[in-house]
Amino acid sequence: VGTLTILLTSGPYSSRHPEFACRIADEALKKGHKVNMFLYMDGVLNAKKGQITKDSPNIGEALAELLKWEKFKVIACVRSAQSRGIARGEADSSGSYPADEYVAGAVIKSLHELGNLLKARDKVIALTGGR
Amino acid sequence: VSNSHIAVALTHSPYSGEREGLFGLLDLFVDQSASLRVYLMGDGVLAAKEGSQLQDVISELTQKGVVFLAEKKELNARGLRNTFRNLRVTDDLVSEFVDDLMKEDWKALVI
Repeated sequence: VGTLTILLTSGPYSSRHPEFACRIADEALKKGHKVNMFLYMDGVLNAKKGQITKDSPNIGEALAELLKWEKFKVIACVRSAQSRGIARGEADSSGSYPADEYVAGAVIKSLHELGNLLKARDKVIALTGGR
Repeated sequence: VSNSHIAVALTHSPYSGEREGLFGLLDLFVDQSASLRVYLMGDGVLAAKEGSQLQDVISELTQKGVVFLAEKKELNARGLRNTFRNLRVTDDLVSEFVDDLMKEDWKALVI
């Protein structure tokens, strides 16, 4: 059993990377691994609640479902979230920013958090530059 | 990457972007790694079409031991019934990718 960190930079519905990221996370969790998903750049849009889709898989709902696992964390970069109007206000004592616009359990933190995840030196994959 | 086991997930059409760079990278990996498995995800399955421009380069890679895998659902969604001979078709590609990715001596790359 290990820990998988997924870096996701694509927004929902612009590529299939968010869907693949959720499927990979789901499989890893079912196999007993811990999974961290770090949302960066447009990737921060994936955890927004209230997404309404017709035919596409709903990424917000998929993340909300995955967040029912204790072993799954979603962390968004505060700079990316602020610039897209998702994060406002100041950090609390744990370094988390208000995440009212996010599905329950998703948190907004500094980019340094990604550094901490990478330092753990377990498995890391990057889904970036999605087409 | 020397003597590593490598899982590569190709998530976009092999005809978009730098095709030569992509297959050059795979060729480099296969010469240096113990084993290489290429997971064709999403439009990546377009690489599996028999008779495509990629057939020769893929054939060379498979002869060197590279395993290409694709998900049946993604092939069917694109009407791809005639695929190259050594393609491994699976019902649960992501599960197999995660199995490889989480092995201690494996590295993974998503393209």
